[in-house]
Amino acid sequence: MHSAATATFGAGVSRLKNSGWGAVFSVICFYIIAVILHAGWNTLLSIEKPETGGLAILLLLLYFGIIFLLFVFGIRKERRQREKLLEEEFAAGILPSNFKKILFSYRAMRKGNWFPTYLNKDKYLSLVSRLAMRKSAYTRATENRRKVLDGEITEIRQELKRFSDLIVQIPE
Amino acid sequence: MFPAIVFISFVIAVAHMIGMVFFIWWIDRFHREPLRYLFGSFLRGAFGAFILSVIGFELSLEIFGELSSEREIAIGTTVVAPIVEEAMKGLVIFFLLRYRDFDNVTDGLVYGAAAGLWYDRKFLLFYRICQTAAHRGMAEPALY
Repeated sequence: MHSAATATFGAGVSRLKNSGWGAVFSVICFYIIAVILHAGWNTLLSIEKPETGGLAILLLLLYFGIIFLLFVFGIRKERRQREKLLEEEFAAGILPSNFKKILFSYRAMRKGNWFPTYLNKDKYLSLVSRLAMRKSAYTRATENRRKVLDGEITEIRQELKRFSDLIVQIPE
Repeated sequence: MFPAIVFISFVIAVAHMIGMVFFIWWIDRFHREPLRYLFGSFLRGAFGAFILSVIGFELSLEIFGELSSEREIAIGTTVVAPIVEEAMKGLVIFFLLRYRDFDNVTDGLVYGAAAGLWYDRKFLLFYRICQTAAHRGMAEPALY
């Protein structure tokens, strides 16, 4: 239960990466939700009556439901963000266009023999994710921070390009 | 025999917590957080937030006075504890915000869940210890 409540608060805190009052409001809202979840659980446990046991289980299921919904929402948002941010990388040839569907699907990414065995698939996937993250950070960064991110994005692109060149050279 | 039971309970609880940290790490889909950060979040929740919560709770007692009646204890458990504990566990997550890899809702959920793990497990651990103590006719450990 503590994990579920803190995870809920954590989802709100993550909004602080975006500046503005909306982010602050989100943190306060998620904090209140976490406190209510926690207080509800503690209340049921402190009553110590047999009938509250069933309610406590229902409440626990509700917590898991909330976490599940937040998690699904988070994953879907992350996927949409990836699609949007990596689009220009496919267009520029930094990422091979035949990987487009694969890199936007978690299952396809992890399974199958779509990646040459002589290259490090985990490193490649990590680079793709990092590129999407840095580009996302760039959009909300200050001027000085953008210079640093710019350098990092260029570096990641160069590494990915090297991978792409090697992938193209696969003998038929 | 009692220290052995305490030790075994502790080992099982810690093993379970480590397993849960791995599970939390695994459920992240597109970009799994570095394990060292997740364990860092768990340890900060276990030690930092736990100690801060105890201090926070003691401070609240200083402000509102000792909880003597049954009603006051109930208010302490159901109102003061959630407000203090969630704020302290939240501090851990605020601290993790400086990580560059922490950048979306999923990361917040994952780090938050790891930070709150110790609180969940510690109650089960202490409950087991106290049950054993009570079964043997010993005084309940003060920690509970």
